[in-house]
Amino acid sequence: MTSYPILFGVRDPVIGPGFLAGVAVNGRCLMREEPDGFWIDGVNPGAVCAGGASRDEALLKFRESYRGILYDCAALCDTFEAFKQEVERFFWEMTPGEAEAWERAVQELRANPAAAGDWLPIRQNYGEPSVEVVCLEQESLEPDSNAVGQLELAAAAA
Amino acid sequence: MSSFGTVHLSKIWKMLKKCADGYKAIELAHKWRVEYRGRTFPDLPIGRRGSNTPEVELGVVKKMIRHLQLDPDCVHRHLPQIPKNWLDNDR
Repeated sequence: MTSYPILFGVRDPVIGPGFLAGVAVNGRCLMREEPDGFWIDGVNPGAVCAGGASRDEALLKFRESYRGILYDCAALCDTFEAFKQEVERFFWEMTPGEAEAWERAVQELRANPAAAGDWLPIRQNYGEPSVEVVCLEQESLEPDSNAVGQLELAAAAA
Repeated sequence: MSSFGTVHLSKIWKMLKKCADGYKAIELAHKWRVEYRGRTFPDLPIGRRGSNTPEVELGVVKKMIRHLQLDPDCVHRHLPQIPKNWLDNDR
């Protein structure tokens, strides 16, 4: 089974009760090619997953699931501070074994980069996962805060 | 074993009752949020609005079981369509 260690960088505005938050993550997930399609399990955040008939469909559904969870977090939290704490907990709570599986896929990709084809760019130097939750004030909003998501495959440096 | 088979949500609740005693489930706008022993799985589908009985993809069930660290033997007893070795964290 082919596995793809994915790095994703996304930024989402989230409306909560009386606050507007910005959530920016540099996350990791692992896509596995199965006979019926492609399945993605979250690494950071851990508790999210999705699948689809194609790679793009799986990624789209994963993104929708992730965003839906952020919106649910906002509905659960009365304050921005509570929301920030909940999103950070969600991001850092990992599924046992998932990080190790992701690292194995990274090593496999390093050994055989051609296996990934030209589907996504391959990055050899990448940082640790991160999450940033900020309270957005209307006066400080700037258009350069808008960002399209970024997807790459991780391969260990030689 | 494919992640794309499905299991009815009612069977998941029955399994959780037996294998995750004291679990808590909260229905939110987008997903069910399941909490157990200090861990949270917020990605269980609620299905179409108005029907709380969706078919859930096996990949989601597998992820939830592994994330909540449920006993694979217990899960397999109540959801036999999920093989025990499929829940191995060291795949």
